Amino acid sequence: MNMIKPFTIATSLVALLAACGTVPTHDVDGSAEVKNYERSLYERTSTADSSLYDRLGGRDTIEDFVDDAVERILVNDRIAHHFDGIDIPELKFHLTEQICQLAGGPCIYEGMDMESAHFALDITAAEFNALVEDFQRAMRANEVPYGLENQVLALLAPMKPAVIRQ
Amino acid sequence: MRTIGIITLAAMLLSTQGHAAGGKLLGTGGVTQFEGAGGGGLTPWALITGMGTEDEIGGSAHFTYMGIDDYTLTSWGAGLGFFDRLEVSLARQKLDVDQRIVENTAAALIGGLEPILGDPGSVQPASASIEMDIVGAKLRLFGDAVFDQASFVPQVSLGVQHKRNRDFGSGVTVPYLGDVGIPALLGASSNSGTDYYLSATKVFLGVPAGRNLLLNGTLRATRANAFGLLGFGREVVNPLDGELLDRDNSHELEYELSAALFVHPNVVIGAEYRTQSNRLADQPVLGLLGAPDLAREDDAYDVFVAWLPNKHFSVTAAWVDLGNLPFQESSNAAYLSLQASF
Repeated sequence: MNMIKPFTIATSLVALLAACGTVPTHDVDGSAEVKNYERSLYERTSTADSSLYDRLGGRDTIEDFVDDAVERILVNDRIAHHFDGIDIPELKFHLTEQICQLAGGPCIYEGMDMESAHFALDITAAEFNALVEDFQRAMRANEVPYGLENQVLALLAPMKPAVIRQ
Repeated sequence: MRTIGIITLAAMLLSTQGHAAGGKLLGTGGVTQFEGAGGGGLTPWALITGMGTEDEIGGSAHFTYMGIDDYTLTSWGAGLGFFDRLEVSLARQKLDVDQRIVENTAAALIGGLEPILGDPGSVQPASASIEMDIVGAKLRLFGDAVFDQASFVPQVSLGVQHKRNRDFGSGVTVPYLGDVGIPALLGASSNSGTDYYLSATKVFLGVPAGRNLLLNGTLRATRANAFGLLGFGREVVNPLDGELLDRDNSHELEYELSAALFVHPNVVIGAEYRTQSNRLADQPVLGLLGAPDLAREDDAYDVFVAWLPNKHFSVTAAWVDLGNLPFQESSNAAYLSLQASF
């Protein structure tokens, strides 16, 4: 087997990844370690100057799509039942704070860690994905560019093991 | 043929029923590679087919067409994914070989025999088809390609593909030899074989440039020639006295690489590369007859674009290069695949 071709391909792929890694987020106070989710590959491989928070357009944008996402979730037959009796304005506030902080903004999330927050709800993987899809639809409806949408997802994805099956 | 066709149609109908598709995110079941396993177009990935999450059962059905000048390769089949852990699949491949190829192959082999055996008579080789059945299974060993964004650990799956060539020893009528099969004629030793593979798949969300990138590497142990369409292993026998000249039935290790990029929520572009064993090259009998590299194999590769409008249906179009096939040195194919999933 000729080893040059696979080596070239592998090297090109790694170079492509390195060259295209764009913006990092800042974990302002290291709270990622505290809150049961670890820093995503996206965060670790990116190198640029402005944070995802800035590129999203700040807190206003995040508030808008969080608001929209929660409204969609409350009418989503697959998962709405998990939100019975929940204080919705407080949920929206905490989600906004959480995403703001993860995206490198000047917020401190002070809600529960993900495991405690979802304890005894027995959330399934399908339900977690349903929430992700509502966030995707909300971001698109609020004209968040597709590239930034994926970077927000990259911040939410690591929460999955802490959220499901608790 | 009918059984696999019926299963495929049933799976396609099932998947279009109004009830909810499984809970996976769009595209995270992969499409179906032309041997029936979930993955890309040429290569099996570590993803489990269908839209079922770890609490659900999902599945898919596919139909793939490749037009390659004097060859046409179609494949169809269905697969089931159990709890994002186990995948089973059934597929049928059919390689239609144009009359020109059969004539030339026969001529290459017979030409050397005529001085010895005399006038071959007036047998006219017609076009031929080589069919192959593939039963597959895949087990996800560990890892979560999409959601494990906290580490570089990929999703890893172990798979098998048991292939049975139905036209190994018969299907073509040539002078002197009567009813023979192209794979046997070219020096393959058996009509069936099992591929074993290990795939590692990783999705990088938001990387590069905000796009989601999937990378896959597969290691495959195989005895197949041209994916099995030209039989398995190698056994070369002197056609005049039956003397065994050469035999090789060992598994060779091949590798496959894929990269796929979601450029849009519903559109993926990608490329794949797959090495082949080239077991029938430099075949002594063919060499004596002047065509040693008739069954030489090159590495195969493709570039593709897939459109996934929803969780039930996808279309993949690709340009594939399957390398050398007998009498067709450069087999560039237009590739089209339809997949239904639930």
